[in-house]
Amino acid sequence: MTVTDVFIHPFPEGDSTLQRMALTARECGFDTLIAVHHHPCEYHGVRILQGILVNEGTMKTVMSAIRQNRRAIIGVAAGDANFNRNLLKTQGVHLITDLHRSQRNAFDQVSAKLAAGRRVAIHLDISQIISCRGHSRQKVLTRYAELLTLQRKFGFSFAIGSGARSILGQRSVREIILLTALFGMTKEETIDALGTVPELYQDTSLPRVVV
Amino acid sequence: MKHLSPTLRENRRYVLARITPPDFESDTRELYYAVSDSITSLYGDCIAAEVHAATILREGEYVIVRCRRGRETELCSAIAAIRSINGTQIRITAIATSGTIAALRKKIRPKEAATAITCTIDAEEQSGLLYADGKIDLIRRDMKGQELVYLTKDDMEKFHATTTKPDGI
Repeated sequence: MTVTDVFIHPFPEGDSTLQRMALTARECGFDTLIAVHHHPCEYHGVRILQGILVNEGTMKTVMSAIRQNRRAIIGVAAGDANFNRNLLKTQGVHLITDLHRSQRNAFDQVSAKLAAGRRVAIHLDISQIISCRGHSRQKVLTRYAELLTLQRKFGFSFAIGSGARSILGQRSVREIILLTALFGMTKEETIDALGTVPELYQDTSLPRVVV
Repeated sequence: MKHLSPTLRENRRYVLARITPPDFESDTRELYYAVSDSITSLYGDCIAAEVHAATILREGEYVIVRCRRGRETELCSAIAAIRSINGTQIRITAIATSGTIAALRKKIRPKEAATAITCTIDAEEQSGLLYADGKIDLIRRDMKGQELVYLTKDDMEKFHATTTKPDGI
């Protein structure tokens, strides 16, 4: 069983080096990490995969990122409903991130069906639950609960990540189970979501045509 | 004074948690406020009152937090959601839950021995702590103040750094 922490930000973005974060990840019960802008490698028995985050909401940037990083896990920040549907139809996009920042109708049942069919996962960033307070945290929890309802109905995948920029931001599997329970996710669902990414990576290593 | 009979006394559970970084200095009161604030923020005042959390003791990098029986999950979730105390970023990890403090005390490990080192990176001397498993906590000082950088001994080669112990070896 693979347990993956999706999108960590090691040094120089954060204050901890990749090796130190890998060491902490092993202690926390993870065997795979997706490190943003770091090449694939292995440290202390923890497999590191390359992650690319695309935050600019244009299809041109997304296509450019896919062409340049053929062996990376590509996550794209969500936008409006049209943009998200386009993303879901684009081969090479593995994850849609930052859905808590988008409008409620930006990811509806049509997008959910597409995500399930095209095997695109939805990224749930646990650091948002930890770092936000008050209204912002309530908004994140509500959005994640809505996504969970859609996931239970349409069966697309979730990918959970700590979003850590430091070893102090990394959380153990047990803590992640506790934090995801805050928006109603069961232990089994969380464990399934932690094992999603390697399946996406297997698809990545296959040759493909990018139009 | 007559004590409450055992059947009327509330049942409690104790949670052992570890603080990272280990040399973080704070008293139990500050830790209590952090835990209490986190529970209130996550669950609201009503549940916070039911959890009835309190910090019992701190031993090195470990802290024991008390709660009402049946509310351990809420307490552990709140502990996992703590991010900083007095502006210093920390991480508190719940390790074990028990009905007695004595059982948790047995799980407390002696503090990991760390050697004070001086690293020279790009001709700048920086102090830090080297742990037995190769972890290094480096204190980086600049005009803005100081911050901790977490790395391992293997990383030092990448930075072309030299490490010396206080005795100059």
